[in-house]
Amino acid sequence: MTKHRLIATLLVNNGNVVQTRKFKRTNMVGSAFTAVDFFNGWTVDEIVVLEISNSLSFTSRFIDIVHNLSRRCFVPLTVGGKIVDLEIVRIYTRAGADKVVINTGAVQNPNLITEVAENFGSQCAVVSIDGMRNPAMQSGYEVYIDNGRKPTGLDLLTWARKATELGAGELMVNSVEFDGDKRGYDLDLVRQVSGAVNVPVIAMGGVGRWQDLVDGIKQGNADAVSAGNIFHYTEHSTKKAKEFMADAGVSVRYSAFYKINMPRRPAYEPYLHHNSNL
Amino acid sequence: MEYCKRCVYPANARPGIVFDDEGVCSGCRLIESRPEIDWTSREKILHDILTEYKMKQREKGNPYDCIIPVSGGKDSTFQVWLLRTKYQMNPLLVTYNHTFNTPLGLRNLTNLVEKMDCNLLRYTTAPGSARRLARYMLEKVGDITWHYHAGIMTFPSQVAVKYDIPLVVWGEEGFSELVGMHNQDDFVEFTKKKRQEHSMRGFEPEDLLHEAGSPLTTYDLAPFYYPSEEDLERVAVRGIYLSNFISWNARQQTEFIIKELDFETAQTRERTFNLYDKLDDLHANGLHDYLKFLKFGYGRATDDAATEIRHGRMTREEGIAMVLKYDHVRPSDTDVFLKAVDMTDEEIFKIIEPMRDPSIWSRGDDGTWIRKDNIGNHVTDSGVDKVRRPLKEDSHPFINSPEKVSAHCQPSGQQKEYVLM
Repeated sequence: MTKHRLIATLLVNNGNVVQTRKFKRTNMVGSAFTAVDFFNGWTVDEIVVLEISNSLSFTSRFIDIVHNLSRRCFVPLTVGGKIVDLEIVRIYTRAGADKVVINTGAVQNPNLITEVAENFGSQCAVVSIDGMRNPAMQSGYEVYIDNGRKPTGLDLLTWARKATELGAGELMVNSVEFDGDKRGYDLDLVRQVSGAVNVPVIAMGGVGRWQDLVDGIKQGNADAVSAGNIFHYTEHSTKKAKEFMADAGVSVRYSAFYKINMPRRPAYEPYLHHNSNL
Repeated sequence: MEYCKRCVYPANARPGIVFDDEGVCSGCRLIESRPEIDWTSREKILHDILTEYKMKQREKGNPYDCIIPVSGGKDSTFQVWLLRTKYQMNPLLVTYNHTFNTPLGLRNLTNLVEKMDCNLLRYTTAPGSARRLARYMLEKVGDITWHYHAGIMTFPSQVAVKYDIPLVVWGEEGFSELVGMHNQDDFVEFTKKKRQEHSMRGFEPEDLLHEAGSPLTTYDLAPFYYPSEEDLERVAVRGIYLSNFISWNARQQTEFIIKELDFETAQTRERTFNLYDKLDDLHANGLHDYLKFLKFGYGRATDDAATEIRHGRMTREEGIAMVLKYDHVRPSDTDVFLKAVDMTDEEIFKIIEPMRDPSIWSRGDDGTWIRKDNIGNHVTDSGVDKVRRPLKEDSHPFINSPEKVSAHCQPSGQQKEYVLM
């Protein structure tokens, strides 16, 4: 049986990890470098880093950050944000990304999924889908893009199937309404997508306790579970979460502290590179 | 610069602030969310946590139920009172002695230990190490107090492991209190991660030791090595913040301990109107905070005014007046520091220059630094009235403790050297 992955997702805005609720930024947690360093050491299975600002002005800074993160990240590093063409995928992978996450860019230009899959392999092409309840849709969910702000008129399952046919190796599904709400995944949404496609589905958005991770797999039938906010709150969070999953009967990889015996070389940033166009 | 429409915080506030659609900052939103919280059930959670650890420790035959990190300041005095009196805990108090003490701080620490009748474990850093660290970290990260933030955040966990006391009880979660780093329902706990990036500016002692040209030795850095992951896990060290479980109101709590526990306040301050806060360290409200002003264009009066406004004890306009009165003032404790590390004002300015945030500072043609904006220009910003909070009816000015103990309370600017112990 395939082992289920626990994934830490970091939302980065202007170089800093932020918390979100219903896709709105609520507070700033700290540096992405530190977060990756700790989650990596606390034996998480994969780390996803997404650039979520509403502006292109932080992209080059974000690429620097990915480059820096990949230096010490020994679990698969998946990177997303502002992916509109193959060129930016090349830049991210060159900076150290193992996989990329495409969302808005894939809806606007579905061929991009195929291009990524053909050039980098479908294992590299993760399509993320943000759903919002809409009874007018056949599945009951409509796909939203642009950080959950813009409706597309696409049915969730129609798009999920199409993205898979175009070459997506994995789907990452989130619910705009459940995001950051601490009441668990939108299990109906996760279950529907998991049942509709034959590629791994990653559940995301809304984890408020470790049991939600178990529910995502056992009830949502997800292959992997992801969370963002909650991992910032307690010591050894990702390790404890995996131990909880194992105790609940979910097949996960063994947990141990991962020792990275190389200098951290932290870089002190004297001030935030502030931009009014957030 | 964008400023919060409700309080006085600028958008470049450290360690990071988020403004919402109404232009209100994450710190204001956090305090605003407090009355909606069911504090009775939160106190029940706290009670359960404390009982659980108390039982475990007593079963093991360990004399200590928990650790409380204390400085003798207003928060730690209240914490100890709360745990000792209300929850009948047997705490081990721990203090990191950071060298830059004031007589008032030492008086309040002694008073706390006497009044609460507690065991205290105190770690004193070698004064020479403190001076070397202060100077080195000033050059590196623009902070003369790195060593004591590091010490305060490390020593309790070292003791937790050595004495097998898993629970460490902290007071308020300061970053949330100021800039709303975490929400009230996050129940954030003390972690090595949080300590490393926010209290130690990203640097572990190992990092400082390995740097080329570092004057620091393992002896200097000994107080700052965090326990290993294995030790933390074995002892199951857990640090909780009381501000997640009780409706934290520092000023109310301080007025209580002034009355009940003979806590002594300052009589005057140079850089803020707040007479309660950061009394134990000569530089916290002085040079340390002035460096923040030189870097980011705001200081402690901004922090303090924001708190008063959020709690409905000051109008935004009154708060702005305080900021304009205090934030830019050069504190006289600077001279104590300069003497201790053998430096000049000019040398400090030169170190700070590249750290000045260009979003608030620019350089004039003659080389002088110009603050491009300040909260004084934003009194009548549009949207301010819309998000205004009503003043509380019982709001009153800061009270200070009686003069009778004023031997410890030297007026600002009169302390000429540190009091080590």
